[in-house]
Amino acid sequence: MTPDGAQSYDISTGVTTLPDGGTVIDQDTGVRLHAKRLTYVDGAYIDASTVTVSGAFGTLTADKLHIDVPKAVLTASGDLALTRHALRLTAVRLTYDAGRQVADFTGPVTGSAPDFQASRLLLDAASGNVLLVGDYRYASGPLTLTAPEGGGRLELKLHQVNGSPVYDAATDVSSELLARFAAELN
Amino acid sequence: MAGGRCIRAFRALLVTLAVLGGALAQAQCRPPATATRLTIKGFASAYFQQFRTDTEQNSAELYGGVCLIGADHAWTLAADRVSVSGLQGALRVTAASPTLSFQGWSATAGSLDATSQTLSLGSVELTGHGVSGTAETVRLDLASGALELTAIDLHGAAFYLRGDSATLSGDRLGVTAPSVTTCHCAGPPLYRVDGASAQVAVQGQRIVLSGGHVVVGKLEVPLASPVTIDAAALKALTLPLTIEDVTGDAVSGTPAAGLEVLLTHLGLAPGIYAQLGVAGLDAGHPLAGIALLRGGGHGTSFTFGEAPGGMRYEETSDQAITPWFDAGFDTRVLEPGNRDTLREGVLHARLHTGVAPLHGSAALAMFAAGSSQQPSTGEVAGARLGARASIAAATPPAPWGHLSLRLGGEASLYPDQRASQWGVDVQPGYGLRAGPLDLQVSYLARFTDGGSPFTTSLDRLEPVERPSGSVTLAGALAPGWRGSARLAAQIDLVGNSSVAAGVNQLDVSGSLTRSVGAWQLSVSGDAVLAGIVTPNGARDGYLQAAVGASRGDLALGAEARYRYAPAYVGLDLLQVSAAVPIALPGAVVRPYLALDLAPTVTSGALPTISGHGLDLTLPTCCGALKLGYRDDGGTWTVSVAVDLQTHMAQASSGATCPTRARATPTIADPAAAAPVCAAGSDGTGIMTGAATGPPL
Repeated sequence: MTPDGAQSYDISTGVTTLPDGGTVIDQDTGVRLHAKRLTYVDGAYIDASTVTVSGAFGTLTADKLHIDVPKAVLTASGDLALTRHALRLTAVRLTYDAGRQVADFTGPVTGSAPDFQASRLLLDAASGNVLLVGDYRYASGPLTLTAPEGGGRLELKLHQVNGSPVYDAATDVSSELLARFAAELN
Repeated sequence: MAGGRCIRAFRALLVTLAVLGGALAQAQCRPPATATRLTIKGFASAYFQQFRTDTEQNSAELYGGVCLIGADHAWTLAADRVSVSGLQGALRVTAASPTLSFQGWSATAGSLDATSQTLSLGSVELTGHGVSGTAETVRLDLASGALELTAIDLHGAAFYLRGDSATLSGDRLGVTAPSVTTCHCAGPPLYRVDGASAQVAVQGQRIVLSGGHVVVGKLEVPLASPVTIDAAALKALTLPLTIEDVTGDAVSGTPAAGLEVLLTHLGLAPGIYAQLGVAGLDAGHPLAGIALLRGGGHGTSFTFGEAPGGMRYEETSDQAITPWFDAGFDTRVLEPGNRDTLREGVLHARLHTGVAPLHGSAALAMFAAGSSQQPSTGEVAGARLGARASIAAATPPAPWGHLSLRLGGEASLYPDQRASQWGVDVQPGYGLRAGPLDLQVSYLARFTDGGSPFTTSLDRLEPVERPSGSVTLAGALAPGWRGSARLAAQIDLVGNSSVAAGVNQLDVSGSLTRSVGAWQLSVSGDAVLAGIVTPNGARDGYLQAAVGASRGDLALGAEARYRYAPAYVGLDLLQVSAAVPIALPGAVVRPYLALDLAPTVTSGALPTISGHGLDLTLPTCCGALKLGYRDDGGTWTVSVAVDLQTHMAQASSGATCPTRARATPTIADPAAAAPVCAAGSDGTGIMTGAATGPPL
């Protein structure tokens, strides 16, 4: 952890505060977190504001971020945006299970690449595959796909075409992806 | 009877199924609420169960009950699976086994290949508007809505239609190289009508075919253009054959030719036809051939050839130069046997106009002619120059009736004979129409010097002073009875070479009809009294009464006539008649026989046959063919009709109607399926020459 300025430690509570912000790097995963303000209790949690997190899953920005260290669960909200490979989106709230590498965005979730809107998005951070859930809209060229009345599911599968990552859409969601997100869908 | 009820019930079922089928055919695919919706920009909205894209192939696939609805909502297309390619370029939509619904048509195809501008279907089966059939391709222009088809083979309730190509707008089909038949035969049809083009009102089952010719086996006979094939009934077919006893007419100069058989219309080329026949087939008249070539169109007509009495050549032309000016010419060579031979050429012009303030019209006609006539008194030949003027006026119709007045005058010069002729006609009249009453009274006075050197059959005028009138009642004349009654009279106050002075017409006639259950009853009476009032007049007098009863094809009748003639006064006809249908295996015959009992009553002699006839109904694969002839006291009639209603009823009675889907019929093998099973409708059809064309 590298503070950008002052750093205070409350010996009665064990809370460390970086009022000028700082950078946290997880040497095991390579995840790098930079925030304008940081508060954490070693081995318990990290709270950050105006934060940018980058790692294998891409780059995430949010107004507020909380990491439950024992559970390895990250939650973020407020002007939330994710950029990774062929995926760029904004959302209202994120819950990321670092152990399972599953991100659950709720929204509205709006993607600019690919072009979509959804009430909920699940991301397999390991494979990059995405599942739009609920009321969604997906556009590709002259096509605009709209979820059926009452909501539906649309799989966006990441693969390489001519060396570039692209997403293909399918309403017939693969069983593998459904199994991957079984905890979130149940 | 039970069979008839079964047939009617089966036909009703077929009609119901056809209506239901038509409704289903027109029903567009409707997306279920659970369907995912895809908008294809500028092309259609699609509803389906599953969807996937293939970015590498730049395409997408829709599957699981796909329903496409055109962006303009003018068409729908249903398919199990639809592929969309060219997502980053030129859009292309393909599908296997799609069904297109468009303007009441349903087209099930082997394949679909569409762009954002057109829908193209291949190997198409079409249904809609009461017809069904196939097309090799169907192409729908999404911008204009025009539907183009190739290699069509359609069948409706009344016809089979094949064509090289067609364009469809609503239920209007324009077909090139059409081939039409009403036959439903195993194998090739007995006949077909081929043409250059056709306009088809599909819903009305009416085809107007141009440049057509009938093909029967290897025989091809050109038809006048256009020919109308109408979905009413072939029973109105006019037979191009007449059999009649030509008694002659003194006024027109028609010679008495006796029994004559004439083929009245043998089409040779558009606007040209021949008449061929034989006259004088009975005793007392010379045997004579008839060979006339006739034609015309656009205000002209011609007749050339041999007819009873001699050679005949006539050509007329009358062209409307302006709405108020006509001009033309006539040339005539008539050699009516022992009557006046006439050869002449005439130039004529006519000015005419309506005169609204007088509720009438005015006309001025002029002519210049060179005429040669050979009456029994010797040849007369020379020029004729003349003018005629006329004006007609009337009061507006009023509750009390209307008055009318016609004035005419004419003058002719004959320079070669240094002669002239004048004539003036005055004809006032009165008319009243009120409910079932129609009253007409007039008085014709013609003043003339009769100065023409030619005969009255050409232009010689004779004085006339002729009051005449008639009164007619028509409509419901008694409770349950409908009918008419008429009194007509004409008196010539001065005689001439054509009529004697006196009462030359005094006719009273009436008829009543009534329905009693399935029976139609009729009573009629006719009295020609002029011959009684003026015994030496032009017409014999008689009193006649008749009663009749009919039920379907069964007809019974009785008739009596009492004649007042210079040579005979007494009962000269006491006739009973019957026409009885008899069902035979494969045919229905209806013999007609009339017996005259007058000789038995008046002199104890045996009754005589006063009439006979036979109607024959034969079921054929082209409809129920009805042939008939009747000789009623020397008046011959022959008839032919094709009843497609019977044709279709038979087809639906189980002989050919499938109990499951059969192969689509074609004009080459229309028996592949019964058309009524597919199309239903009222099952009637008609195929006749149009008013402008000859009967087939």
